[in-house]
Amino acid sequence: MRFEKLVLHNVLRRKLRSSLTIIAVAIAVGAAVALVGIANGFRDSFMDFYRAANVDIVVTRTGSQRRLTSTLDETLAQRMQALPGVKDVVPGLADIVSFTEANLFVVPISGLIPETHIFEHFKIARGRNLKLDDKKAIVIGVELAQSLQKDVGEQLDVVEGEPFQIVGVFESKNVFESGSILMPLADLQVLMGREGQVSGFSLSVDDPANQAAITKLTEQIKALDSGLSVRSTSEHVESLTEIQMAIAMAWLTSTVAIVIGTLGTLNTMFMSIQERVREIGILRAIGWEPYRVVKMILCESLTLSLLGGLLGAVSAIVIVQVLSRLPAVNGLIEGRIDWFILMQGMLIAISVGLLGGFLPAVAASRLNPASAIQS
Amino acid sequence: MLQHDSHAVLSSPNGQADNRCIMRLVDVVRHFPNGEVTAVNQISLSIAEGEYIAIMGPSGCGKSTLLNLMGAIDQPTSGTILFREQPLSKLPSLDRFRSSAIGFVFQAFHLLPTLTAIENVQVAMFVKPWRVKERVERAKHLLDTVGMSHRLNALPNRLSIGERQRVAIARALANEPSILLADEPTGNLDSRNGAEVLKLFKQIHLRKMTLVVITHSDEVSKEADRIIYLKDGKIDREVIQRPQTA
Repeated sequence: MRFEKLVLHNVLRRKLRSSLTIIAVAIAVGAAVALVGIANGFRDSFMDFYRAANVDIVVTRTGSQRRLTSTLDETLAQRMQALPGVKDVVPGLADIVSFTEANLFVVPISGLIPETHIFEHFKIARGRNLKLDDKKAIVIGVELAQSLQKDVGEQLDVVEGEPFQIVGVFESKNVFESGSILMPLADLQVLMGREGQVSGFSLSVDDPANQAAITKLTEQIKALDSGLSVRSTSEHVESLTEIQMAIAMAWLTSTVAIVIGTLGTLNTMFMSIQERVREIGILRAIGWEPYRVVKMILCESLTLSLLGGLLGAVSAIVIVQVLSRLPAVNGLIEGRIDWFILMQGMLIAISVGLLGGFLPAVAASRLNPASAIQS
Repeated sequence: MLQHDSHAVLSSPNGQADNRCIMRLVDVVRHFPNGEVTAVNQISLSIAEGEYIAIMGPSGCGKSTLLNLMGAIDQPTSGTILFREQPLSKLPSLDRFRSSAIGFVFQAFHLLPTLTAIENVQVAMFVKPWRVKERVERAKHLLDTVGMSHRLNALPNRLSIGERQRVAIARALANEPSILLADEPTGNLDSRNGAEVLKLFKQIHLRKMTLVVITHSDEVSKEADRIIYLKDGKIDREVIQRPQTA
């Protein structure tokens, strides 16, 4: 018989209790993996949007961590375009609308200048793309079209009493875009009462690999207006309040789940020790050293937590896939669970096992053999 | 048979401990403060290597406590216990001492209920660096020695009381101990099983292992080299049935 077999044997002695402990750990790890994966997916969706549009620098109003609250003068675009090294400047206005009848409460809407390169990565599935001379025309993402049950040629009240013609439905690998509306910038400015204003500018540069040139350009842009925030796309995305809140909420919720998982494991191991006081006394009496008893209890605890971790990781992958396909989510959420997140999940499982097993293991090792045998 | 006074110590004429002495107790006391009981009261005793000692006495006279002290399962309140003239209190690890020098056969057998017979023997051997195959082979050999080769994979609740006792003896012998301590090994057995166990102890004694057995049975005690009678935690008298020769 191997030591590992003894450990597994002890874990399987109380199948119901072990199962419940494994499930508790699975919930802790699964919550952490799923929530962090969703937060990462949220962040990566933003990154994908900018990457697909070949955006290298994002310019917004200083102090505005959310695109929606950033307000800049549209004419800044021409001044930035004149700077050396700037390939293209695309102004954009962002807002959010809702379609309560379809239970959609967060639908992004972007006002962009049609026939600019930023539209190149939108793959038109049905209908056509926006044109410069379009008035009150929109293109919508395929996820949104499905949620609203709308298609090309139909009208959509973007806000109440403001119907727009759907001229095209586009596909996008970016889950954020698939649930959004695109319309001409001028139309959105009028709709939102923000004529001459934009939320920010998306810049592409001549030589994206030249970091020194980008740094210099950044300083030149900042010099145009003291109220500008100029960041690379990754810096911009990381600074967004939505992203920071999503990641913070993910880890906060995960921490609570981890504490609960640890307490569950601690309770299980203490109960296990209580039931086996005499057995542990016998092992000590026949010569088992305290460290060997500690090792046995910790290994049992780790076995439970690792099994829970595996179950939790697999469940998280499945649940996130299911959640991202729910109509109410409208394609806004896509979990990105990569190997790094899975490793973090398993590290959480190991921590839960060690934390939950340590005190019971030490308590077991300190049992007096004589009194333990007589208990 | 020779009778000795209380507190007789096996010693050479000049009062020094004999070189053949494997274990010596000097003024050992075990006091339990909870119930204010002194279970062992100033016991001094020497045990020669290869000696077979029976400890007898009325219930509650301190026999099991004495055995637990000798097996380092419990620690004395005062006094010294020496193993090969090394105080147990000075040993680096009492667990190592228990695993390597002592084999303990408990009155209630104390087999681990969820492990089979062969696994119960092996679990005692985890403390030594046996290879898995060697451990299994040795466990099989020991169980064969005690007549249990046909019940290797039986759980304790599937074994008769006599069979459980034999597995307990095999486990006690697992690490080739210097001293075998047995607490009423035939107490729960019928006469047939008791005789089987007695035969095993005789074989063990013939291999020159030191045996200390607590018993109420005259059948067991008559096989011993020396009988120590306890009363109220003290040695009342000793009877030497077979003197130890140098």
